[in-house]
Amino acid sequence: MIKVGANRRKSLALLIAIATAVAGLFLSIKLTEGAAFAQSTVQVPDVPIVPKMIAGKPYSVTPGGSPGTWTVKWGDQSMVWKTQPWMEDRQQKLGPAYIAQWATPGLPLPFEIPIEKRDQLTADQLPDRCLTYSYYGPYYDNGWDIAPIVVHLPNGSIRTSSETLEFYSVFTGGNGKQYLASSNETNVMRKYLWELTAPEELRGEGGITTLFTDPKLIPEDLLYLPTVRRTRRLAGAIAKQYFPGSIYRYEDVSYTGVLPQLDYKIIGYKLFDPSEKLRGFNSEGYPATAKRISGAGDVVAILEVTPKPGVSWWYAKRIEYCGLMAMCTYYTEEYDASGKLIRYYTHLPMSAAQGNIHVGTPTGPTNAPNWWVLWGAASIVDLDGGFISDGWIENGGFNAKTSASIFSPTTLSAQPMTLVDWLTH
Amino acid sequence: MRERCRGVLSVGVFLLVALLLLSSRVTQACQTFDELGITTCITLYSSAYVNLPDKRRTVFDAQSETFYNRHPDNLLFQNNEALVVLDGNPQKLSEMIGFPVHWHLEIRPHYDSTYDATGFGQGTYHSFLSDLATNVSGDMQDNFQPLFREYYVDLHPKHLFIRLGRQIIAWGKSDGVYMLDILNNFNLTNPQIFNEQQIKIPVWAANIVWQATTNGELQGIAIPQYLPTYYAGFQFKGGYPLNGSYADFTYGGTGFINNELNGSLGFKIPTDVNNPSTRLNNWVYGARWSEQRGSVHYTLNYLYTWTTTQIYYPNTGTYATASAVNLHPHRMHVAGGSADYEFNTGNPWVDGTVLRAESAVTTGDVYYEGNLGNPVDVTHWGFLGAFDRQILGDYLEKPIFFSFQYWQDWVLRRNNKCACGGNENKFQDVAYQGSPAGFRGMYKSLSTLYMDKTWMTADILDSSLSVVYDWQFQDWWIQPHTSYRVSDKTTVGLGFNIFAGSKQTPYGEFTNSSNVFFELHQSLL
Repeated sequence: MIKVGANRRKSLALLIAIATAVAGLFLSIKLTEGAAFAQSTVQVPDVPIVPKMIAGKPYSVTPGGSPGTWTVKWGDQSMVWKTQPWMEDRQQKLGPAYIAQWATPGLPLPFEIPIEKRDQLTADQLPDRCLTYSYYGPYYDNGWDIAPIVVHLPNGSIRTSSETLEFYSVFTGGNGKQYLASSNETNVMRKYLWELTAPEELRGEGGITTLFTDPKLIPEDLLYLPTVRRTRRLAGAIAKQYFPGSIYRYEDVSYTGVLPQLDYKIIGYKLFDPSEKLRGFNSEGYPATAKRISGAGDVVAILEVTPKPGVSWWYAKRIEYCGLMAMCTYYTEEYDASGKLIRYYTHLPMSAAQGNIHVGTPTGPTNAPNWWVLWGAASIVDLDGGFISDGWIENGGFNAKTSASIFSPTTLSAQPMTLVDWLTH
Repeated sequence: MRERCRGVLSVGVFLLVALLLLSSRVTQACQTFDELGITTCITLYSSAYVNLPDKRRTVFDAQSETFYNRHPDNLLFQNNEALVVLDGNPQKLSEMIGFPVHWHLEIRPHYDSTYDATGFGQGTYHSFLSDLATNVSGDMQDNFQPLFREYYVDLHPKHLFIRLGRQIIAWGKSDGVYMLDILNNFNLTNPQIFNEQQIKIPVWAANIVWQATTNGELQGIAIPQYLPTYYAGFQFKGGYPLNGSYADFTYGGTGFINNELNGSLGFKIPTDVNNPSTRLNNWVYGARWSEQRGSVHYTLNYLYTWTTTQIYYPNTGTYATASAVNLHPHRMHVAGGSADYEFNTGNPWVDGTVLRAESAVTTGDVYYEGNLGNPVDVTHWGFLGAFDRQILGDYLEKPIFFSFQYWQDWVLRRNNKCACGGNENKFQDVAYQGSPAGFRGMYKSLSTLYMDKTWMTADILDSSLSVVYDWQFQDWWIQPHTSYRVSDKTTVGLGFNIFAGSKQTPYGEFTNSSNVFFELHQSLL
């Protein structure tokens, strides 16, 4: 006959014994937290030095006529720069000179090129330098965050609200090598780990993306599906398609470098003076705590992106505005074949001075170098359909002391629910 | 007609419950209590499966030992359950012992209302089928449909991940084909559910992963208690099975043997059940090495386990002379591996295509051979090849995910001789009901096709088509399904299960149970 009850008690006792033995075995291993980060030897002045020349034209910042305003001039263009309450406190204090910190000589990739030579960057170099490395900095070991992403209906109400844990490391700057198996992985540019903790229907879904230095290689995606408790190799995503569950495209999130299907051309430079009506450049859609960096006052390279002949793409033309001081794509516009603006995208990064950006752990110190940035905040405005999406970092940081194996299916199958738990993998 | 009306009435009750749930007001998914380090989520799930054909069914009455026809009613399955999930990260404990600790508790109270309308159709068997607790011991109820479903502790010492407790562990790279992924057996009360975490039976296990290299992991597993696959119609009391083919999704083979034990041969056959004890030599042990090398992800697996179902052993060694039956599993070894690879060649016609493969040699498995169906110990080799690809990406805003699998299973050798009573080298498949049409050969294969496409902004509408085709039995299972995320808290689903084939084929046997089904997920917290 079945003797299940007694057997279960024996099993329980045996498992407890195993647990006790394992716990004892590793009792000496201490949980380490700390403010470890690669200290830069470069000292960025508290008040950054504003470059005198950018892209071959004189550049200047002078106090404006009223408090909180500055006059920015570049060549024959000028603008009045106004402090906004959603800007990082330090940017509110320093004004447009704030973004000049990323023009400080001696900073690493992507800021290593002197400001007076950044207009020599080619069209093919800008996508990685301005978007990839602004999202995922190559100058720290790893970055991580918890990010709400909200999609609004055309009537302004919320259609869906998700929350994502993110962890990433970029290898092109020589950091994060512990996450690579061997030297034969020189073709790996970065790794990205994500997991959804909301909405409930998608909770536990997660993935690992490996991106390669060769832009012709399709990124490799693993997807963990909690319904079957298994990690699956995902068939190659298509750069122009929507990122699942959002109105971002893969082109906005993963495929941020040069794509072989597209042509890139620099069509000019201008002083970046974004309208306050642009999503992200005002308080709409973001909590007051999501303080971010405005690229207003930077000089931007204007990049025109068009599909190669014979290629069917979701836009006929894209215009990207890449800031030469902060090396950041702040804004893009997408047009259809008739020249109608069908979508725009805004991107406002967050720096280590933001207040919610920590070192080591989600409650660690906030003493990373002020010039270190995370992707920050990004909005999509679909002018055709009327949908709007806002995403921002709620809590994030640098250089968590994770296992070298964190980019593994085991991390996904553990289905951690919080950043604290996640970063222990 | 009367029964059909009552079926419609049952769906009405389901829809009423659905409306009540939809009307509830909630604020956010899962609640995190930072000060306690605990996260709580509560979800309600309800589903109803309604029969489409209006047919009568032949069943066997164990009391009168006669067969008769009965209308099976139109409500095939209706289940209502809540899922309460608690996750905790005791920070102080972690700091005290020196490495991170996490615990997880999943409580799933459920109410199966399939047989609640008594007096007609399946309701006639209400006393047999309404609740497992009424006809099996409490222990078995807890094993197959536990209230406390998963509960475990995760320990994260350096380079290790240790999960101790009741859990689900998935192996392999195939969808819906289980060669390596047999660590958790299934509760097959409703075998049409694709959501494996709902119907896999969690096992007590010590699951230890050593992160040996950056890209390589060695997993060791020990499972002390054997929990066989649970079939509707597989319930025993007083030495006899309680039902034959009463339940809608009882496999024909299970119903057939149950009928024989209950007296369809003219005499009852007493039956005894012997599950393995939890002595160390009866545990299930497994090991897996998984690694990424270049663009290939692969695993090597070994499992020392038991057959996934209990085996019906005649007391005399042959059913020709058996006077009693003993049910117990048989030890088996499973050795195999799995791999996937994505083309990344620069050729757009093939790039992005993922190849998947899984293979296992199983020795010690037991098949029922020949006309007598005496159990024989076999070694068989399974292989699955598959490819996945996003298609029509140039023409659709959201492409279609396309997946095709081909699986085959060869019986390599029989490890004991069989007095089979004819039809040697043929084995009784799951729908076998006494005629050669229910035999499989030494070789068996099937294919699956899966396509999925999302629609609307934020992918709130999802549609899929799943097809299973058995090449030898030439029968089909087709499941179109769509789900719509009404809000972040509420998802509704609609689907069909269409079966086609002859009576003794694995999927064709359910032709008269083809159905439409409705689902509702409601998150409360």
